[in-house]
Amino acid sequence: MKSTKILERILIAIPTMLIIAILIFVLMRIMPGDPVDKMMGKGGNINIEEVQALEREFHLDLPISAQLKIFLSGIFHGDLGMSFQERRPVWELIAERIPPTLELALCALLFSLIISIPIGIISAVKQNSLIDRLGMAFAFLGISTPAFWLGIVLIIIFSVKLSIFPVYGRIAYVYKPIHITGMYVLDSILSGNWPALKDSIMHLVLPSVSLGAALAAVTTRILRSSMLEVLRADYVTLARTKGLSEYMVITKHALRNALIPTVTVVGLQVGMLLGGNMIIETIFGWPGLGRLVVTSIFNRDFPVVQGAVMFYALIYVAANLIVDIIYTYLNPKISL
Amino acid sequence: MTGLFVTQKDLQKNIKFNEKKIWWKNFKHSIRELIKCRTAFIGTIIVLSFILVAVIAPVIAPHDPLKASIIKRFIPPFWIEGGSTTYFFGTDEIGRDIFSRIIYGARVSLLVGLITVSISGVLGTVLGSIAGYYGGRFDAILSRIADLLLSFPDLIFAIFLMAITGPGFFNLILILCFKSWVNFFRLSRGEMISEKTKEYIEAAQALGESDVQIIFKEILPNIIHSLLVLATLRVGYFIILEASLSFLGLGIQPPTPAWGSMINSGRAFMLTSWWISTMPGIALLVLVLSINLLGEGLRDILDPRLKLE
Repeated sequence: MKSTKILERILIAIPTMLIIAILIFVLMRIMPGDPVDKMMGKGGNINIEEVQALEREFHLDLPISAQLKIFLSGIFHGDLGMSFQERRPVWELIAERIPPTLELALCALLFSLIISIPIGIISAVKQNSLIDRLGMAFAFLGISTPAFWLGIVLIIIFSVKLSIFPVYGRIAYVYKPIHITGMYVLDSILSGNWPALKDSIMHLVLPSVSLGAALAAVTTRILRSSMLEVLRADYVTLARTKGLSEYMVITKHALRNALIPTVTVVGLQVGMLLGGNMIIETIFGWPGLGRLVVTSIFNRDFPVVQGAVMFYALIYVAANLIVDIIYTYLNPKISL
Repeated sequence: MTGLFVTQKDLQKNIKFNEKKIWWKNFKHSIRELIKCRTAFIGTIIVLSFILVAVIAPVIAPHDPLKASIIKRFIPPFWIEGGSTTYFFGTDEIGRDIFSRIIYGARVSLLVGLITVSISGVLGTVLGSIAGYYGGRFDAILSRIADLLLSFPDLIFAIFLMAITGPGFFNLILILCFKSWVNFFRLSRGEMISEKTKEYIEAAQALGESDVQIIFKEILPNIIHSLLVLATLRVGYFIILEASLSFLGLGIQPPTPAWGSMINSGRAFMLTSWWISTMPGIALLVLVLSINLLGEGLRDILDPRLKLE
């Protein structure tokens, strides 16, 4: 893909993001529930002057249009505002939550690819075999299982009954590695802290499986069906008649083309992995972005919600763009 | 009909009659195919029995789903020691019968799924058909809105709007529809665009049919099968989405039994009483699985282009 095209796509994304930001801004403010009430807590004894001071501090005493102006000018300066609850810059809060969410999403993706690529290929090559039938049955089960219930059942089986994996959290406190990237697996490898590595991986297994199961199922099915289609194509027959080994035919000729539809699906699902996992984060006590958004919505913490939602939109746009770039790499005939 | 002349009216009648016959033939054919496809048939049977159970819930539920009892708390399912067939799947943390609650919970899940899909399906199809047929500014604006809505994760979007409107059955349906018409919009728009250049449309235009007639009487019957498949699969999706929202406490409010909130309430007791969360989840899984089986069976029959071998 030409760089001008990429630039164009990014430029188109900017007004979309702005509209989203304004929409969220207005919607948050018509939401019932007063953020100052939430900030003060329900302890009673509320001093009216304190309330006014808070409102002034966060510009809540101004009309909505004036607030919007402050918000928009902030965005152009790269400032997302201050969190009402934590009194810290929003970008700081979001930046803190990205590594755990990213770590979980990447592990879920890894899990789903490890499962789906071999099963997808074998199922297609050995169509209607036992492996194929079993694989497809599991894939079907995978797309029909609600992730949050799967998470709970996995906890009941593997944490409660068998006590193999921990129930909750990212890592045992004693093992916590020094902060480098914020992703504990990476941090513990970088700092050579092997007990921490083991512990963080143990904490990652169940949430990754619950989150990645559906993706694994979808990917397996897509890969299998596109492999089947490709294996019947003329150029695969030609490759076979040329006397290439079956292994070469499958990996060099068929797989590459079968991967195109798969990449689309996986790419778009990664956006979902990052954005739709607040339930998994809630169940496993994972301090990620999804949980931040949910608690901020309940606390009427406007700036955090605005910032996080814009971040989600950004991920979506980026995921689409990356999918398109990989597309052109896999099939140079497609030009965008 | 007098003599040799065939009036236009007769001709139209005849065409209509043939259309009906063809439709009936297609319908019978589809049913036969559905029965032939074993998995889809099983799916259909299970979905129908869930619907039946939901409709006659008061008749078959052995206990009152809301009746709590301090002394009957945490009774395990019948196959575990301490359980009895009186409480088939055991009781929950305040002594309510889980089996009866699952039966009543089917009502919520099915109602939400079916109503949401009906509303968003009709809305999305009508808008998509018009946008696809006419194109132009209407299409451009709607497509832009569709893209915008698609850039939010479904669940966050729903949580956000639920926080604005407050929880409740009607709010829930409203909010799920708010975003989900987009899928039907995109599908019908795309199909409409590819369909409208075909010859039979030109013929219909030459016969002097109005645009409304062409869209809804000529094209729509030809694309309805893929919309039907999408609708079926979406029912399962909405049932899961509703359960997720109820799980987070934003969907159907207690004490109304909903599977999502039942799974959530059992979470606190999963160390000791695993069945409270597990049982409603199995019901959810079986229902969604059967809906998907039915949907994919339908797709193979009605829309072989999309068949996943």
